[in-house]
Amino acid sequence: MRKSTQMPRVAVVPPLRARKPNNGPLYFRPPDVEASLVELYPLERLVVAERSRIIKPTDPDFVRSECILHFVRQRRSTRWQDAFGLLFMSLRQRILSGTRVPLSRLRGDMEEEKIAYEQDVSDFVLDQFLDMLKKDTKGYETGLDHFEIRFNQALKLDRIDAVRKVQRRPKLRSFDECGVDAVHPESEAQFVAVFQNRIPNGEEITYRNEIVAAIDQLCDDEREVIRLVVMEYSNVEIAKLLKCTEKTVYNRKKRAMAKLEVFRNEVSNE
Amino acid sequence: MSNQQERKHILYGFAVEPVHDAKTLAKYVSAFPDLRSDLIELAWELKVSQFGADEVLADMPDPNFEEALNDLLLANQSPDREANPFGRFRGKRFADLSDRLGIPRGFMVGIRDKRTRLDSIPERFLAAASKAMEIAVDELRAYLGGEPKVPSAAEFKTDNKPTDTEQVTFEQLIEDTKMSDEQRKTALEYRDDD
Repeated sequence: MRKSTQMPRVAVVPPLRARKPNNGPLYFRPPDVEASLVELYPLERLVVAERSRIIKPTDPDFVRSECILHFVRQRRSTRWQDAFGLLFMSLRQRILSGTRVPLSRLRGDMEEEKIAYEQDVSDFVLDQFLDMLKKDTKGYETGLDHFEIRFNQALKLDRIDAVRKVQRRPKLRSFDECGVDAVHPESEAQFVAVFQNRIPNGEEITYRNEIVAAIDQLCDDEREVIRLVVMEYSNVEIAKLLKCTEKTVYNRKKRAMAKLEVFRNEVSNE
Repeated sequence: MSNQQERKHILYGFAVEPVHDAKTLAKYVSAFPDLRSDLIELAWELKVSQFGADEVLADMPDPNFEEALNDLLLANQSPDREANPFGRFRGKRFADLSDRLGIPRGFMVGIRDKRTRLDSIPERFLAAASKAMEIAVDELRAYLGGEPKVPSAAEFKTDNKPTDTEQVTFEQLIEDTKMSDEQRKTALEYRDDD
């Protein structure tokens, strides 16, 4: 008897519809996300929903956030109802995880204020995301496509927007005035080195977060320059990006480093 | 696409790039110089938040989950329902919105729940509210012109069947709502000049 030569059915995952900026080509999901969706499509949705509750990324049954979102968007028939609630719950958990930052990254003295602030930021992001999902039910919300490409990276923009909108903020201490001559020559290199360690330990992560918090407190032009310094841009590259002279970059950097030196002294005195 | 939508589309585009090196950032800044500061801030956020990304995700408290799920299920069931611009304003955000407009929350509920006749709501108020909500006036007007909101089973606290509530005028709503003198003055100032 001749064996069937039927090919196994391969799931056809609907393509994305968003285009790159300036009417560029269509976006595609990264191969690993696409492969995950192909693997998940044949499964019962309830099975996918239950797997979406797994929180350990190294678990072989862990479901990527990009995929959870995809299945939340794909809800069309009533047979999905049981699974939908679970999937939506998991999606919100991934949003919360991707939005929150360690409290050590926030400048301020009162932990309660920092916690309340983070709650407000998370609530804002969740509300914005819900709006996008609701729009998606009426048509197709291309903004959500970005989250099917790289979920956590897209969330960073939402966090930035939330931080700008949230009213209730932790009280910040202002930097003490200090002379720019107070800067140690090696300070800049040391700050950059803190961010270069690819496998930081717990203490280094905390210190790094505290530097981030201190940088966040600088005024706009200083903050911008220092961020680019820490991201290992040269003075020439910074000047080109900011459309200013190298001297301006140098001056802003010097002022910023002087203020951050105050922070460094505070930390070492704790 | 509105300016705000365009901005988000470009910034999301940068966010989901596979790398965020100097070349990528320079490319985006060159193409979209008005978004330079936003792009640098986003590049920074992407850099500093990468650490700890592989950690186990913790179960986080999500007190608004049920409300959000109901909201989304309703939207799924009624795709033709007019979008509720107040959906983004719940809890503290609703209180902040009322504060920004200088009116008490109870008054804003009367507007939100369409208990106020649209033809009596002053243009000045519509303009101020839509600006505070960051939406177009037409969107707000379209929503407020829809059917008044009937209390849901979850909101209803008595054994009586919910009934439609007759709409009142904007001025009547001012009369009926408890508010401070300052809030009353602000509410009255929204009236259009005759």
